[in-house]
Amino acid sequence: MRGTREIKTRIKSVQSTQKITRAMEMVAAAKLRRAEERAEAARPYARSIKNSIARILENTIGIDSPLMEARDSTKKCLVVYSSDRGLCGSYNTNILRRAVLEAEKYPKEQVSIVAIGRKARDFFRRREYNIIREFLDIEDRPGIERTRELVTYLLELFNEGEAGEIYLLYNEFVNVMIHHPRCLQLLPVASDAIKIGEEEKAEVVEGERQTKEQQQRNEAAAEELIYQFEPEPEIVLEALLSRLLNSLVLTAFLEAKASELGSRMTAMKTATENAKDMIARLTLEYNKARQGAITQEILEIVNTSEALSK
Amino acid sequence: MGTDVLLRIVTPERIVYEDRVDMVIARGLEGDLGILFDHKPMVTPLKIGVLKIKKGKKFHPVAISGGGVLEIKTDLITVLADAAELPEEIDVERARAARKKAEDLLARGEDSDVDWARAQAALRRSMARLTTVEEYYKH
Repeated sequence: MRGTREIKTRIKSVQSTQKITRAMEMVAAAKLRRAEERAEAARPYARSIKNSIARILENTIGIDSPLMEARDSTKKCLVVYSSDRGLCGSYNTNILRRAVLEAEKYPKEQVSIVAIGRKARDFFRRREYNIIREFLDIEDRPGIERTRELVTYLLELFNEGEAGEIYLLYNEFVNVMIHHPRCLQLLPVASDAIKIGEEEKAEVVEGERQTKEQQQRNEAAAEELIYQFEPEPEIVLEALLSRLLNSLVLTAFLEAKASELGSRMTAMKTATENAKDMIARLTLEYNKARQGAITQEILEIVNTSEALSK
Repeated sequence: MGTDVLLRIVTPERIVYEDRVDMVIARGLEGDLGILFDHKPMVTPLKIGVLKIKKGKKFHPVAISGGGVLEIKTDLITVLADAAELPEEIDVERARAARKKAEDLLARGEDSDVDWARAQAALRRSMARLTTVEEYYKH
């Protein structure tokens, strides 16, 4: 059995760890709430722009943009979003595993990596992938300036033929406990990036608060929905597509951030609970050891006094 | 009724404005546009500038401080702005400071190491904000 002093030190150390994990849990929870709000606030724009592009493509014939055309280049670029710091459970493991799966589909020399967050950078550096750019220290409120910088860079890569296809890998936020690693094709802009779910469509209609009369009129108008462009359709479409990319990336950043915080919160909660169990076990052990020591002492005294009285 | 149109101004970060309005005056890339109900469907990029909303007899200015794209679809006008502010959200002091800074940079001349396009954009942004506030107090 271990000495009481040792056990006591151990309890102390577990207690201080528990304090830290509890504090981290609470910080993550507070930040998570804000991150979720921001992700929520970004949705109307994402929806609107997808709607606009979908409507325009549906109703015009023969316009397309170089951003939507497949390139000959066999080079692939993976943009991987990870966290800068650890202590967030399986968050990074999940996304990096997904990213490797994606990367291994192609010969190594065709793949280049844009690493977002330290974990992704270190991971791919160890595996000797070609990291062409890294974005570190992503703030808790990833803003539009950041994403614009990334999008501008990616467009450059694409337009100069440095990458024929660009994918974005990030953790999609489902709820606090569940995040799905997701691989999204950014460039060339795929038609499924524009398509919106039926659910979202319904939401839009509700948002428009249409009266019956208006609806009928809309239906009549929908048939002759021929768009006029100012200036040329190609320019307008490109302006829309680059904004769509920005919106996609921003949404991904916000979701990934929320996932990271959710993941960290859950991990820290588990850690705090573990510490609690551990403290309980150690306290029990401590008490046993203390009792043992007392019993031992009493035995010794009794033995001595009996020996003396003979 | 039925002559109003739903206007929705959104930025990547939030909804700035969403309401039924009578008319919208916007600064398109190829010139100013006055949009009423049942306008021909069209799409055009927007310049940095002031967008005016007519609702009843009043005009409400909104600063489109980041450019954007405007889409018209019969009774829905969508403004996808990179950044936009309502007049009450604008920090006048900051906008003035930004204008001053941009003007100083531009005053140095085209040969200096000033990022010309960037300074010009900053100037236009601050001007759009200031004009918006001005318009707001005029009415």
